[in-house]
Amino acid sequence: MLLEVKNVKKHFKSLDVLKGIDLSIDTGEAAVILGPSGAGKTTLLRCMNFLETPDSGELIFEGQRYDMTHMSKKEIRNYHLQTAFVFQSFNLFLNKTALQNVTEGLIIARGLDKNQAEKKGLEALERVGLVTHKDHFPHQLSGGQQQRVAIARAIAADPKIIFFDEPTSALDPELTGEVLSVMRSLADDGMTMAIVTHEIEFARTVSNKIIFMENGVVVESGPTAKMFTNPDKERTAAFLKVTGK
Amino acid sequence: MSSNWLTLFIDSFPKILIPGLTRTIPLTVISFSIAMVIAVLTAMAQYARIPILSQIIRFYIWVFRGTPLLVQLFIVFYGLPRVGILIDPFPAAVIVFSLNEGAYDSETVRAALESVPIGQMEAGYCVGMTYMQIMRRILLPQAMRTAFPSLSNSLIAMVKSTSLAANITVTEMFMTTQRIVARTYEPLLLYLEVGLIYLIFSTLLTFLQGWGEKRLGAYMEKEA
Ligand SMILES: Nc1ncnc2c1ncn2[C@@H]1O[C@H](COP(=O)(O)OP(=O)(O)O)[C@@H](O)[C@H]1O
Ligand SMILES: [Mg+2]
Repeated sequence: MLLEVKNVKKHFKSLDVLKGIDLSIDTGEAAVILGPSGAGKTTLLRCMNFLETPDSGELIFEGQRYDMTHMSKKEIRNYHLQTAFVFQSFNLFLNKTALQNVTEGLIIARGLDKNQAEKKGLEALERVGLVTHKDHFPHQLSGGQQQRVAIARAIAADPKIIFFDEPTSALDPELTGEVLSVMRSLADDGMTMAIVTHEIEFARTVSNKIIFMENGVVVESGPTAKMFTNPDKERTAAFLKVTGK
Repeated sequence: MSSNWLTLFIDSFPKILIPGLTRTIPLTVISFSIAMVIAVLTAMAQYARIPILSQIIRFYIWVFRGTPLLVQLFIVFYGLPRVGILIDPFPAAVIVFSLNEGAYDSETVRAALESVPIGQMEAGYCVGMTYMQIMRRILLPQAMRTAFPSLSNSLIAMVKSTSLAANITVTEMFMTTQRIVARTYEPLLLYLEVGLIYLIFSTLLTFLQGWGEKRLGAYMEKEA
């Protein structure tokens, strides 16, 4: 198991958003987290990336156990150096070109020299089909292109896992395809991914594992084929519109 | 008469300009540079909401923005010697102008920092950058670009405010002009002349501002 979290809880004011989440992701797995809006999917990913501090929770990453409520800055940074996050709103660095967005972390956080970083950066942009746009600033790119740059930024550092939080939700419908196809090719190459998305068809065809969340709990999780044909829970079947159940 | 005026104008021009170059400009450049350091550091501390320190900074800004510059100059130059602190005119002026300008610019920089979309901070964390790395490489450059027009305006305003330093015996352009007036009894001509030199300084800075905005603007959206 590459990554496991146990009993992740998080509340905002009087609202219990995560009520004790357990999940695990294997190396090479593309896990899709599905669930209605407000289920707590974003909060879960943010907790798993320490953009929020959970109220409780345990992280087991490559066999190493961490108390998620008491991670040191150094431990979090070290974890970030091995993971990547793709945001719904891209969050590109607005004062950097496409290539600089990709190389910034390599140079500043990892200490690669500029040449090495640019080589890796160009390879990453190549994979998302945007080498030709390397000198464009974010505002000169379409939403779909910005998200592909964000994916290039994520893959450039060879992360052990990439988290995606609704990577296509902020895009015009005609631009979602280019992003999904990049993600599909990453999955084909065996990249480990944890993806929150509402693209059911994408989930069905790309993922190995479905985690279905609602009201701050994991209702059910299992292999994609089973979840789409014969889930254990009525609620899962209803959400995935499994017929004949 | 008019040929006298012309002669006086020409004779006094270098006499006024030289203290402009040796006093007014250095006073402005040094004070503004220190003010920038104060502004950026205090804005960062406020942005990060560092407990106690933020309160101290708020107090500093409140005091310096809420009292006249002239009063601040008098307190430091004429007042502090009463408690044994004697500061020469020029450094006294630098201290007051820096602190006063820093207080205003701090708020400008803080507001600009707060206008930078926060998602970039989170993206920076997720690629393993530290808070200070993100601040220095991503947030501050964008904030300074946003703050640039407003900071340039305060720089231009500051060139003019340095004339107040005449009141604490700094022999900058305005004081020099006053002395020539006292000798020649030509207030209209000479005050117009010093006004013209201030105007030249401000105009040059306005050009620099336009040039700077263009250079900094590469990554900004047209409408922003
Ligand atoms: N920072 C926050 N402060 C207060 N409430 C929040 C915050 N973030 C999320 N919530 C609430 O938590 C619940 C789950 O949100 P979220 O994790 O974004 O769900 P999802 O991504 O599944 O749509 C929602 O009711 C949302 O309003
Ligand atoms: Mg969400």
